Amino acid sequence: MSHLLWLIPVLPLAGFLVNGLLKLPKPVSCIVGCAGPIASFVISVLVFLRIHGHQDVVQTVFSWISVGQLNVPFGLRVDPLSGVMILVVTGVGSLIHVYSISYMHDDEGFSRFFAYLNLFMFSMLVLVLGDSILLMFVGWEGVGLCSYLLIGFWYKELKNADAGKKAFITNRVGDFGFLLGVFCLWALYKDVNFAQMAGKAIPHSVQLAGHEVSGDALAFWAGLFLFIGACGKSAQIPLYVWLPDAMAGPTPVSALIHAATMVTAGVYMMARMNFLYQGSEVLSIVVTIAALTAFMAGLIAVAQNDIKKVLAYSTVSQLGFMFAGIASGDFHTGMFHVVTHAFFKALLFLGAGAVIHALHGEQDIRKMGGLGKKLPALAAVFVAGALALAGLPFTAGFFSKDAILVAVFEQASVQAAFGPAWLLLVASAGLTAFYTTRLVLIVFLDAPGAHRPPSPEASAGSHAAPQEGDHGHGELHKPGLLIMAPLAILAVASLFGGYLLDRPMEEFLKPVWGEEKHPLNFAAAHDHAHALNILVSCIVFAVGVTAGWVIYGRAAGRDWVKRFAEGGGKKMYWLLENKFFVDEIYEYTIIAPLKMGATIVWFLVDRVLIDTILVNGTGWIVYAVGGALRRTHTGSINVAVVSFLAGALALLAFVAYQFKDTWQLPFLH
Amino acid sequence: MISHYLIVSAALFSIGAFGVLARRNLLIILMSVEIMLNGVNVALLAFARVHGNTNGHVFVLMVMGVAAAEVSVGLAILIAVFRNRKTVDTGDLKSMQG
Repeated sequence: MSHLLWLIPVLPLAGFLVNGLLKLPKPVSCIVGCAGPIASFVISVLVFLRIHGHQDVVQTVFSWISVGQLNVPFGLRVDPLSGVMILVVTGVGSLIHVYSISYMHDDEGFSRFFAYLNLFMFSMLVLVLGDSILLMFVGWEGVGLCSYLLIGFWYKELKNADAGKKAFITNRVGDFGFLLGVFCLWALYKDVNFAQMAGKAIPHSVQLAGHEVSGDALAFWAGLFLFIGACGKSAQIPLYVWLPDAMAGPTPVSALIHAATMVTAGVYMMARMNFLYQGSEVLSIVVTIAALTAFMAGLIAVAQNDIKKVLAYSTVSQLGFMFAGIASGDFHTGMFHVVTHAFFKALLFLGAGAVIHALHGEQDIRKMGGLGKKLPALAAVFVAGALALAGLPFTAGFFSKDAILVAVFEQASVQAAFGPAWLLLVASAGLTAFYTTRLVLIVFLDAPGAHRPPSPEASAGSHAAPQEGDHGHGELHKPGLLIMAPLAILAVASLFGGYLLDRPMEEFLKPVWGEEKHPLNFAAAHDHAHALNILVSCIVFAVGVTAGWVIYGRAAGRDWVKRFAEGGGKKMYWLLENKFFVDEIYEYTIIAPLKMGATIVWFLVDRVLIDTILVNGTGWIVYAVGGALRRTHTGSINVAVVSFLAGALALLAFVAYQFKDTWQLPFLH
Repeated sequence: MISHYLIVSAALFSIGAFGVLARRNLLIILMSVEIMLNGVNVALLAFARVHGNTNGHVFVLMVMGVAAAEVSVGLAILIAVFRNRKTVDTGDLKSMQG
């Protein structure tokens, strides 16, 4: 099986090349586009079955970089960790490809869309399968590129192109951290291969640029820099701002790249680098940032009115959970949440896409409502995903979130930062249940127009609309089989995936990091903590859903929200609706000074030094010298002949003088 | 003995050079160039005699051939210039001035 490994990334690449270079009719184009990922999925399953005997499947495709000490082959490795990831990436990816056939059918960029999507699959699979951190970086940049291309897919609108640029540039900040982390790793291990690095102990001290550096300190910085990289890719504070804007892309892209796979690359990378993070002090920083991100994004999600923005902030929040799981040292909890989140968030995004499609492009939830009766099947699968996200006991989200809470809770007795983080995460879990309930109720259960928007400025517009029948858009666009089939599969996975995967996945992933570290009194404390956390999870779920129901499920509650939003809570609502003004703060504290600096440099270096002094200066000197020499060109034949003869005589005199001894010319002696 | 020949040669060459420098009529300049060439020819033949071989003769035949070609081309240009400008005075032919 190992000789087939290279096909897993290459098949989607072939799809990209065919769709990208040839102009195919739509049916052929979508078959080519879907065949690659599905074939990859089949091979992934075959490979996955092979590694079940704890035998890593390895293939060195070709020698890639060979410079001095640095020797990096293009090597692919499937171990349990990457095995789980390729299943998620190709599995969910294939479903989303199939969904896209119907979703993008009327788009003029149909082939281009599939080409980009296939290129993304290729990059993501290289990221996951690469056996060295350099190869992972190639995939890392590749998915960043595809993310940029797909966010700006509808590039004719400036807003979309800007969102793409924002995502790309924000990721550059993280990528810089990632690169610094790679440099630190190289200094530390003199190797970039994951298996080789994991096998080496951190040296006591390292020579770095002529200085003696402690190995532990360097490991700390390596871990921190890599986490900054993960922050960029996986949308954590302070680099999360690009993800909500990334919703400008087509909805299947939001589902595949910005919910299910690419944004979890950071989590995967940290799980992959577990040998560096085990017992590291970086984890306190990670868990703090993760919990803050989870809580803050959850708060913002409560006040968003765009269906995709709600889900986007929810994704940021859930990514915080994943990082908290990684930070707890129980790496499998983070990866488990990656998998379950891929199921239910892909489902929710695809469901949201179906809703948007049905309403002819309407994304504002205040203009939705009552869709439950009109689209019952869609409502059912959406609710399944929402319940899994909210953490209904025994759904996927419940198990993975609970595992993270337990892990963080247990770590709280060892490291101080984990206590507050646990509290924040519990609160975020409650917020998750609350905003999910709000979303479902407003979109599906309300009569059209009955819901009054809570924000003051939006309420003005709604008075005109309430009595309009079908949202003023005419007939609903009912989702077809190609849309509903992937949704149904994902709904089943969201409901039962957690229960089925909980224990097996922990056991399965154990060979990757060995025995994870637990407090000494493991068994008893673990059971105790587990029971407590299950109780807490159930309570926050119940509280969140009930609060959501009380407020958004009844007319009285909605009136109360409206009064609250216009009265006492006006400031708070304003703050939440504007996302804590983080974008604006970045604009004024970082972007504006950068722009000013760039303008100054542009003027001094570009305008003055290069344009004026170097380029025009050279031209001016040539012009002036030429103008002066022009006067010697009289055009008179006599002058030319005189100069010619004078030159000839001078030459003759020179030669005669040089050879005066040999020739013995009398007049020179 | 050779110095007599060389003096004649140098005299012919100098007369030709003076003509080229001093005169402004293109036709006269061309003729002066011919005189310069013949001055050189005399020197070449004298040296051939001194050395007792025919190398100088070969050069002279070569120079005469080139001179014939030069005169034919030069006179043709001269006629073309005269037809266009109605003058062969080098003082008036200054269109190459920078």
